[in-house]
Amino acid sequence: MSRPDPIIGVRDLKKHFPVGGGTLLPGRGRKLLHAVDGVTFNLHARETLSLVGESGSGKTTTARMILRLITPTSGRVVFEGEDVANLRGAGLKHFRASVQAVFQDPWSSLNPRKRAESIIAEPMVINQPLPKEELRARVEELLAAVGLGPAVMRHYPHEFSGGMRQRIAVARALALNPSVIILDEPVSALDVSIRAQIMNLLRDLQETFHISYLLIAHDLATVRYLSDRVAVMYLGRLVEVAPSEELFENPLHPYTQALIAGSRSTTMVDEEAARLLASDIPSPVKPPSGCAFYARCPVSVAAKSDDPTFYERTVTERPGLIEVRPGHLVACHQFDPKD
Amino acid sequence: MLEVTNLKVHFTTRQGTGRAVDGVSFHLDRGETLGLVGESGCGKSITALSIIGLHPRPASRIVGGEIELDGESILTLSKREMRKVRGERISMILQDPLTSLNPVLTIGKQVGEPLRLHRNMDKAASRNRVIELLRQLHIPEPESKLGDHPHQFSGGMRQRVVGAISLAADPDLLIADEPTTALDVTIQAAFLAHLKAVQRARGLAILFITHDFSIIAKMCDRVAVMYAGKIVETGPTAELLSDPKHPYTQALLESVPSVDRGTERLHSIGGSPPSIYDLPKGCTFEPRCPHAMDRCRESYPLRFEVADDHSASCWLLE
Repeated sequence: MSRPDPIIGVRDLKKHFPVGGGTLLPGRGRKLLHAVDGVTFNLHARETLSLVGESGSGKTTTARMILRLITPTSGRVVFEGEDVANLRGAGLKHFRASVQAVFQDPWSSLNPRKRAESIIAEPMVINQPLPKEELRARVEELLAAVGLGPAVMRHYPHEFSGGMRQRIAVARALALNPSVIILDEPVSALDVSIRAQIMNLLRDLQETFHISYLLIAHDLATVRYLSDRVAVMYLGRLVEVAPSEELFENPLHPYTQALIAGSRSTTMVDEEAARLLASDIPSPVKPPSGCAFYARCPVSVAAKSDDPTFYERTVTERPGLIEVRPGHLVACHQFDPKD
Repeated sequence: MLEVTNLKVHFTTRQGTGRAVDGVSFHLDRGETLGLVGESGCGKSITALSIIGLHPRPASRIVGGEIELDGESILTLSKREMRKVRGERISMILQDPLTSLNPVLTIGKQVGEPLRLHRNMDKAASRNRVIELLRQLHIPEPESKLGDHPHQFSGGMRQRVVGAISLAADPDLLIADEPTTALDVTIQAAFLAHLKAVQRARGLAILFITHDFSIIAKMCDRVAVMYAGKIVETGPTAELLSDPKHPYTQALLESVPSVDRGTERLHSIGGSPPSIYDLPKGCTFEPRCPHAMDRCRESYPLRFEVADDHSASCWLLE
């Protein structure tokens, strides 16, 4: 991607969690869980980039590192040209205000003991103290932006439906005029008929306030509806990155193909493909040294007998992310020019 | 084979009487899959649970209607007889494979239990059958897995074990309540393929409960759409999805994004479903319906046949 100045740049980001071993004697029998294992991408102004992948693929861990909620093992998150890890004082404050988040479950992300008004006002009270009147006017403005009337201000979260709560969470995220909002599964906890309301709201807000979204989701239909670009993660690595339209029409990585086929209403996987897909996902504690997907990949499995050299490569050599078409990157030996 | 007629299940709580299932009728034939779609709280799970007599009690009660299996009512059966029906003829897969297995019993014991209880198999025979069942659902090396406990299995494998249990006693009817929502997309696709294969081999009838239209399109022969305790539309899958007649079905289909559909703006349905404790007097969808008329506020619409085996309850169709 040669576009200038991404808002957020993620550079070879890794997070390895220690697992096993006792807490009293750390080190003994300790292993590392490779939750995120070398991820690089850019988030540009006003775009929606989606991180998709199944549970355990590392998408939420990546988001938490970007938010600086956890420290990366290695690699960098760059915000407006500066390494987020080095931010202090005013710089950090600016970063915190500019990069906001909306989480999956609006039942646990709103404080049950506060009224909607103070939930939405809190970021402003902390970051840019305003006189009481102005603060209230601003809360009203934010509520209007998310399609709620001023009457809800006096109510507590338990009095709202899931859709309304998610609107309040969005209003809170908007309070400090952020340039980026990280949306971690923003609609998956909502009822089917409510999801469209929130997805349309998110689209409208992006248009009005020129925000970039990093959307984390496992539901590809949601992803297709909201994204400009999509990055597919598998076992802590990016396997494919492409403009949304291109990815859905012409997926290259066998894993992306399986994901899309599984989400389509028309395709039913055949028995053989099903057996292969159902085979177990490798453990992130002992990630394969070659391609992370090889054991479930129809191409690799077929090569086992037809093309042993290729098979050997998929097992031993980790494929790099290669740009095969402008903006379309894929990590798969099939597309490696070395062949 | 299964005939449900005007089923009513009411909840009695401090809030009053909740009409969770409010006059539901459908039928299901051998080898057929009927999809029951609707949003959470529309009564689809309670309908399913009441068929196998496991609706929450004493909070809820079947207050009316009839459930017949091969022409015989199962509502009048004694507890003992009902247990037999549950083990031998109807079984159920629940949403969450993590909580539907017993963590302290081995896989072999759990899959073999229905065989010993309902098919009177001895240890050796049930062991062989269990291995066969696990193999059918593509559990690798089933012989070596019999002594394993659920925590040693991944989510997808656990759901296949739950599948093996529910198919163990060779039931005629399988009720699957969102069996794949807890699974990842690729694992889900694999599980659905397995289920379909087993159905083809045995002529199993499946009542498939879900809110996911892409699954309905793949799995079901017919669909029944539920809203606020009632079936508002029912018909053959392809026809209902391409030419929905009830405003709720139309709105629901237009509000759901799909991988095949792209980024064309979704039409959202305003408002939320009514409370089962305070249902509108007329049509339950009327407060959210773009086509609502005076008449809709006064009385619940009759069911109109719009095509062969395709009907919807809406005054617009009169």
